[in-house]
Amino acid sequence: MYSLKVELLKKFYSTMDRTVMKLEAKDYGFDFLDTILNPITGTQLDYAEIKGNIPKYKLSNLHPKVYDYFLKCHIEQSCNVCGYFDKLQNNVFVFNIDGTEKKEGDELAEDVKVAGGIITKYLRKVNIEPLVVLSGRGYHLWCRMTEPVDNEVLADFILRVIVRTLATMENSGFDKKKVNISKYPHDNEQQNCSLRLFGSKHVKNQVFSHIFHPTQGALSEADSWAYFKEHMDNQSITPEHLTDAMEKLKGTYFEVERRA
Amino acid sequence: MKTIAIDIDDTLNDFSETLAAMEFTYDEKYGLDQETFKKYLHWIKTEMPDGERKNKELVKLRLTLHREIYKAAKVKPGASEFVQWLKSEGWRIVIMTYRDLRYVLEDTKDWLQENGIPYNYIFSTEDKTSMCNVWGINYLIEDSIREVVIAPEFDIQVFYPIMQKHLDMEFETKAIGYSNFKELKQCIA
Repeated sequence: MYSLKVELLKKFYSTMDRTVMKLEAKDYGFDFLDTILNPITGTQLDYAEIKGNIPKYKLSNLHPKVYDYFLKCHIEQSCNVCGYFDKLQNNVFVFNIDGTEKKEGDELAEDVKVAGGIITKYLRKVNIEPLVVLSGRGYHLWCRMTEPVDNEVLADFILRVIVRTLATMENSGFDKKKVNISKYPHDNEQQNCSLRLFGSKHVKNQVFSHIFHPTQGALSEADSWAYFKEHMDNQSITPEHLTDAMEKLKGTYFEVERRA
Repeated sequence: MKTIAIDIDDTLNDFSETLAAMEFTYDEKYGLDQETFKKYLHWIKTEMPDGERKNKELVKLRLTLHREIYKAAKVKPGASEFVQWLKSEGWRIVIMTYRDLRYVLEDTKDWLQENGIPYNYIFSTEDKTSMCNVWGINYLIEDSIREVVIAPEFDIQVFYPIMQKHLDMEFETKAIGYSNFKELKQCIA
């Protein structure tokens, strides 16, 4: 079961750099470092950091088997693997939507939900169905391509959607300052930011990265995995589709129901 | 193994002096108008207003300018020899910084290498006291007032390079100030 899921993740994120990752784990301490930095495998620690009480380890020089091992741990829910995008071309792009204000419990801020809804609406207008994954304080909207595309093209497309989304929010009475929408990959060669892959429980809040189905809403863990595969098989778009979408997006603008 | 955490900016290098002395000229590449650039530059060189700490334009400019400082800052006299001495004495050396290493890891590693500063690990955190506490690091060399005051309360032995801000400090601390690395070596030896 785990090996199937590992292969699914590797296929979905096929252009990510598999020699590096950021590992989010509950474990810490120099003994733990000695365990993961086994000299036989050659794994190196670029740096460790603590943000929001979660230890994070930027690992490099990963052997393929070590990469697979951590993916397995990710699926087993003992850590989170955050992947690094390729510096030039990628087969996935992401809208990472976060709330800028802390909310009590697991409830997402209304503005975050609205932003996710508007981005989805713009993407559907150009026949792209995003894979909507629950992250910590928001959503990751993953779009997958059948082939890698230059980062500058991807970033240009993402930016066009973000600009329209923020304009729609503002004109409909929502506070765009309460939402942070970042794009992956970036439009320069310095791809130094990582993003958590689908399939794990968040180390901090222990919430699984549930997928939101277009009609059924939040899916269970098992159904999320099934839809993850289904989406990859049926919703990946071609580079030509993206070019076409870029054209269709020109002149497209929505209003949404104003905030009450 | 004894472990010591060592800060970089204003501890191993002369960050503040370099920042104060360096002249940054306006350039359209910063994506700001000239007046905004001037205002932000002033804040970066003096103190960021509390209400502006999440200002993305300002944060981006600060990171861009700080990168220049990270490269240009000079190692403090005796710093390299001191850290080499720690290594020869069998200490585990952790470089502990507030820097955002997502963006400046290579600059940081290059600077440490160019200046002959050995280390075992690089850690990044906004709360060094907590990180030392959690990781069982009992020694910290650090200039930040916050850590100088708080860390000793958690039984972390802190050594700080005496600067004007420490002389103006309104808080009492159990941390030990030093004037140069020779003096620091005597404290630790």
